[in-house]
Amino acid sequence: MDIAEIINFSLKNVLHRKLRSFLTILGIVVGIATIVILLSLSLGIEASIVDSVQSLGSNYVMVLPTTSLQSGTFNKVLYTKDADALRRLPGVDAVAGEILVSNAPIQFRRKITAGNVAGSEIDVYVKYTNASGVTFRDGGYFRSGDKSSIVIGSKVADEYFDDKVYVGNSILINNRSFRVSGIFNKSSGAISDLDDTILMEATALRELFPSAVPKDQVFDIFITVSPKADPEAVAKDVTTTLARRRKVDPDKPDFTVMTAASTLEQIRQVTGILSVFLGFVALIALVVGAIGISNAMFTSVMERTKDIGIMKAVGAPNNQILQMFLIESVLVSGIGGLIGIIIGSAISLLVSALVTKTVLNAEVLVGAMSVSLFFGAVSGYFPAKQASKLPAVVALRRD
Amino acid sequence: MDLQEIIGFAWKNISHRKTRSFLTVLGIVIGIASIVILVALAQGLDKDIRASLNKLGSNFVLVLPGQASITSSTSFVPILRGILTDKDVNVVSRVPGVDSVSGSLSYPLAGIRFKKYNATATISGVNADTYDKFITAGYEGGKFFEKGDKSSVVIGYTIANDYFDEKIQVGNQLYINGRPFRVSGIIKQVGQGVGNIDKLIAIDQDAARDLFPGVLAKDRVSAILALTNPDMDSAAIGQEIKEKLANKRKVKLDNLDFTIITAASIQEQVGEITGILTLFLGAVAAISLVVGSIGIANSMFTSVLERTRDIGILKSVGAPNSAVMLLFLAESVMLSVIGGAVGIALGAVVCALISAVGNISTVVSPELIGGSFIVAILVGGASGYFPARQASKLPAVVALRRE
Repeated sequence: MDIAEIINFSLKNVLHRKLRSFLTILGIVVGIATIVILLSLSLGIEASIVDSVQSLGSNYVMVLPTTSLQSGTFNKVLYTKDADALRRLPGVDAVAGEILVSNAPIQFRRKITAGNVAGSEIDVYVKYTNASGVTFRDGGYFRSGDKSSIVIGSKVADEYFDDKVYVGNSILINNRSFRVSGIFNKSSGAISDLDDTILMEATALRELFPSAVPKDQVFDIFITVSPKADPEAVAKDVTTTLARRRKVDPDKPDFTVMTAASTLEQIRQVTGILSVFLGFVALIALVVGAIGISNAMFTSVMERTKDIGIMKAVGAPNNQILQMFLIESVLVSGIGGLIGIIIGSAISLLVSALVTKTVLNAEVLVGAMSVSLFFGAVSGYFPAKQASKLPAVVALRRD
Repeated sequence: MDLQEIIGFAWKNISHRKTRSFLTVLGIVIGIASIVILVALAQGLDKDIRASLNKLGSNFVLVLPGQASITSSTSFVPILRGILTDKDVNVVSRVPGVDSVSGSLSYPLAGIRFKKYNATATISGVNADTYDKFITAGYEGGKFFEKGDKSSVVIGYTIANDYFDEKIQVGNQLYINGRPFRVSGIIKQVGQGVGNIDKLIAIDQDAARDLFPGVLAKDRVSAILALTNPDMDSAAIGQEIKEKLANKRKVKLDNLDFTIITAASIQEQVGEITGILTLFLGAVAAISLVVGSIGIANSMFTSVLERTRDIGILKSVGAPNSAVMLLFLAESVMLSVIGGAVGIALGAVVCALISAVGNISTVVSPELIGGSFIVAILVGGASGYFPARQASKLPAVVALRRE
């Protein structure tokens, strides 16, 4: 018996018990489709976050006052001198210490509300936003050193007050009037606070709230990197320089240095855990499906005990019997895997079109197919082994 | 044939084909166990969150400016739009059932210093009388400062133990925006929840206004905390406050520029989130069960096929269709019931293991056990139905003739 004959034989057996094969395959289809759908969902989540991070550009380094971003609190302190120490580092284009006053009273016409007001060195901020593709819906930045103008986000302009704010209008912040020189376009990024921005020169903000921002301190430090320099190398320099200045272990700094790449890395870690978890849960369904294959194969071996006896009597070796049943189970799982991938992909495309972004890539599809073939082989092995070990005389005698 | 006979017959068939029955049951075991485990994990999370919420008690109503929600914060620094004023505090204080009221001021970016360590933290300016009653967790040491004491501070557990490289003790000096405050009390650990009590740094309201002129403007407050009469329903009082404030602020009830938070509304929000999680995990786990039930159907179809002759004999001696149907249904339900019982037991054991080893809360509730068991029975009934019907519909002559 050559391999073509064996496959032919297996196929015949699969087709012979139509209903049983259908149900066995269905189990695999459901398992594989679940894996494909859940993994493509989790990849979709990752992709949409990555997109929003990448829209921020990559030639920047940020220093935040926290030991870990996951903690969600910014409880450490960065100093103006920290920012100054970074200006001379190779690859650094410009450095800005940003300050922030939260919950500041703001007023437009008769409506009084509160907002977070940021202060930055505007020429550095301009470089950053230009590089990251932030665009204005109207107007633009005020000139560097202009202490009576502000730039605002789209939400501030549209939603904060009773009336919409336009370029040229004046907003009162702590009872002092500031002219709106520009309004940003709505941000596409999910993690950016751009839409809630109220931005002025840092020196103006310090004068406005002399007691709210501790002297010599900044909230975060923003660094733009020269086009030719590698942001990762600059980030490393920044870490060692700041650690030395602040007398902390550079491996356990009391600040966080962020680059586009490190942000992406962190996102991938989280979504990676999600993928593994969802994949694992979906795998359980596949395991149950594989048990179904095993079951069908044991039944198949039992029903064909007599056939096995005849084959052995005419000289078929054990490994050929093994092969025959193994191929049958792999065939079942292969068909199930293929249909599962098709159905899973279809559903995932549907979800992508109607509900939320999903991503199908070759790894997921090939991985799902391999997993299904592997499960087919494993679940078919024991029934096949049992069949191949049957002594010919015993098998023939059986009814 | 009575029921006992049918069950006996079904059991015999199951034990006859040991391997097949074992594998079929195994599919259900895995399906039910994964439902139990995943749902128990989600319920455990729910329990943890509720336990920490309960430490806050329930007789309070919190009013925040803007439209806030415990799920809405994705920003570096919390963005709460809108303002509340002392006038709003007055409105709240006149609502029946409100025992005491504190307008609280908060500034999230205050510079604080302990010994030589600098940090940034949220400081709150509060009415000492009201806050003292609000802190139901008790104190690690010391107590709340007296009303009007402008040079003392009360801090939460995290601030005292984790915020600085050295632990803060009652009596220590803490500098806020350069001015020294004496630590009069340290609150016991509360866990996550409203207001983040563990990270509280509370000073007198007027002292806070002195520290941050401009930001914490006169007559402006960042939040209003109302303690309600313990004998009355705080959710109802919250509703009353909502209507009175909306009226005073001239905003529509369906488009408020403030947010009312009560113990009930938080529980509801938490319940919504963990409910979705439970549903999602349960649904994903249920897929395994669907595959398991396909396994039952498959095994039953095979069983019907193998026993076609028996069916013929049964029918020819006068067994009605319904008896044959019942016979096979009993078999499939029996498979799924065994699978369900073992699955629940296995799931409960794994949950206990996860809780013991991984220190993750799991809750295997009676509802979960009962629910999964019912699901198992239903699965057996549904997946056995078509094979059983096929068997019952076989004409006796055809069945007998079959080999």
